[in-house]
Amino acid sequence: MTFALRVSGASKSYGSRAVLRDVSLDLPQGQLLTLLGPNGAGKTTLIRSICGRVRLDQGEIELLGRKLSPSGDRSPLGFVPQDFAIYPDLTARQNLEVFGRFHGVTRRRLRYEVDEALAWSLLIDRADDLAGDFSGGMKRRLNIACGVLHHPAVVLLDEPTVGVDPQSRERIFEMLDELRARGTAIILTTHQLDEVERRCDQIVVIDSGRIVAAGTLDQLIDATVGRDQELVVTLDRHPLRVPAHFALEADGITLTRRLSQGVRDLSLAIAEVQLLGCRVEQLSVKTPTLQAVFLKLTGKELRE
Amino acid sequence: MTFTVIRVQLLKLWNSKPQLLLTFFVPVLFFSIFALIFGKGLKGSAPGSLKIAIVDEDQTDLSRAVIADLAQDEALVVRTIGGAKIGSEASSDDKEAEQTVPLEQAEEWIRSAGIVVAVQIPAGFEAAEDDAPEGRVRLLADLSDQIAPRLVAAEVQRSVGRHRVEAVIARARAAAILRRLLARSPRDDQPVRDDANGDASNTPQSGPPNESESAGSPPQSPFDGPVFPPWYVVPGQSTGGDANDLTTALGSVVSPEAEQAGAVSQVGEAQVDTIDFFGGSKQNPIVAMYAAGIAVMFLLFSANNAGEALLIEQETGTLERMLTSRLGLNRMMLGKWLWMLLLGTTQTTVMFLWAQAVFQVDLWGHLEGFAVMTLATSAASASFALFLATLCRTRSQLQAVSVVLILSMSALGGSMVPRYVMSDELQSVGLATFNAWALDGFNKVFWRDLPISSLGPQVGVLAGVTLILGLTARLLARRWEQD
Repeated sequence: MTFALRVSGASKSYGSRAVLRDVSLDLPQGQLLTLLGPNGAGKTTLIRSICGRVRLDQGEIELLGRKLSPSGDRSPLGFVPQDFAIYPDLTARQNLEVFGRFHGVTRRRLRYEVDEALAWSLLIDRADDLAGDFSGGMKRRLNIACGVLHHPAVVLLDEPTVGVDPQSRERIFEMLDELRARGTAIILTTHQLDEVERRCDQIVVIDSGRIVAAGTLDQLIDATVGRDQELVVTLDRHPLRVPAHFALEADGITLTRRLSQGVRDLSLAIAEVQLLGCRVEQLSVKTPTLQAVFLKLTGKELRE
Repeated sequence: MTFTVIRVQLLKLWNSKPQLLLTFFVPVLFFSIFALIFGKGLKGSAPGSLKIAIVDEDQTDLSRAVIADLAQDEALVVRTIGGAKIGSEASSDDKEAEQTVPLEQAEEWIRSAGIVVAVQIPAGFEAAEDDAPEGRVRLLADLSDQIAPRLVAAEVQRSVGRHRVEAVIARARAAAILRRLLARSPRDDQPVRDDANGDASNTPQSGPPNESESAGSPPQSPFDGPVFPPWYVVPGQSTGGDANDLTTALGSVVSPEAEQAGAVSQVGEAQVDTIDFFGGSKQNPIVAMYAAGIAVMFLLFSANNAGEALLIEQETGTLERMLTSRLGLNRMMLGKWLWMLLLGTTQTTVMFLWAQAVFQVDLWGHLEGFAVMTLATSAASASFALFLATLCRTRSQLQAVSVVLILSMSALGGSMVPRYVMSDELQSVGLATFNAWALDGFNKVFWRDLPISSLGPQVGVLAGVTLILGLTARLLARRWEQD
């Protein structure tokens, strides 16, 4: 099978600090792979190394079946950095023209591609306005459009939805869906876990430069937190005792219990709570989420 | 709360070292530079700072005496054909003779900036009437230096005046002595007419001496003629008056009262004509030099702004994006450099077009030289800006470094203050800036009307600067290539 992108044994250190440790991943064409990890985990370094901006100490990268040298041709790649890497004092159209030319789009095709990109990013009405005057969401969309104007086979997006409203975020993920539908392979770093759950084919969790888990959402859930639902009960006061199979959360009033037997466990659990003599303020049943997987794999402590 | 506002500003200033540098270091630096330029370093006050040549067509005692004076003036260096710079040690007749050069040679030296002034003492100068053309010293001057001709003119006037007064006194004394001798002669029955020592018994006469004789018979001795040379004007009289009224005249010359009244300085004062060697046929020629000075300084600022764009691109991630495209670092830097070159060339051209339209600077007449110098200067500026942009890590660093460097280079290189007012030492320091070379080149083109071939040193230095700074910038930019 030919992958759009393969990373094998990628390692990188700055002095004694290892930022990538033997990272490997495969990305088939038309798939969306999300890199998850706390801040400083090595996600951006991995993306920059794929772009050729970081020279790996070890490991290799293959693009469309072709091994990439550190300074080799990466024209089948599209890169969308986390910052607004556009010229604020150029119009949206001019930005697209400029980056189209940088990516080798011929002058003959440029106008067509720019119009297409403007329509795709819903910026056609503001095509001749300065990018610096755009809202955050519009800048994000233009930022993405500039990175994919040349129809790359693989697009790397570093947190493309930071600081945008829900509507813009939704539109950005729709744009990514459209790209994927065209057969473009995408690597994405984001902290929007709900979107990842909905749209991603593969999830790779990185922590401290190492891949700690990889697979589909179901695979990750099975491998980490399991498929059991969880009962969460918030009481009005601290209970005198903790019932069997329950756990008391740090706030002292929230009890949790895994429901491995489904509804049968639920009825038993509720009966046990009633025996505590406390008033139930809130009760919910949660299914396993990516957030739970993420916290399970990387811990809850801050990494900044 | 007001104190907190002040504290915030103080902390911001303290945390921004470049800003701190701009606030406290730069003013001190510029004060020092201008103190050096206008203080002890001012040209003319330093020994050997003015280079001149002397064209002695008179070859008389007076002209030789003037040459000796000029040669002994510590501020002047008299250039000779042999190349020797004759200074205060030159006093013998031989050396004085060597100090004069043909007029053509002096003109050539002015044209090639070897000297700033040529002193031409015309034939017949010593014997000339006051208002005769040959009685006027000519200074062929490169008026791009507006100070040197005035200093040399003052020195010439002082020297000629002094020697003429000495000549008057010497002739008067000689005449008095001889007349006294003649008066004692047995066959001389004429009364003594005058006495330099002012003997009261020999009352000075007014009017021509020995009127009775001069009216009817020729003088009987060579000393019966005028005592004073024709240029001499008796102080206090609009016309010559009775120049042969020896006692009156000498008294006016040598008495302390007369000296106090400034009479000595009036006696024999030389008429000096300063001739604009280059600008005579030009309209508003000095403006071309100032246009070049301002153009070079703003060329640096513009190029620096363009270089700053590189750091902005780095900070916004645009540079990273460009470098992941097909563009690559080499083409990106070449593009930046070419843009700065284009911008600088256009900017300088616009300035000179304006100078031509409004100030009658002859741009079309010097188009080739202008093109060569503009391209060379813009290229050097572009490399300089790229060098600074790649040297600095942040925009605030660049701002601080560029302000210090550009203003220092402009001050020392002649963009702000003409280099001719600076001492030789400061002028030498100025050559470390490419402003100085650029301005010298524009000067050759617009002021000296020299051919393009004469621009070799200037273009060579600017091309060297372009190459060295450009390559250094490329090396420094390696930090952007890959981590």
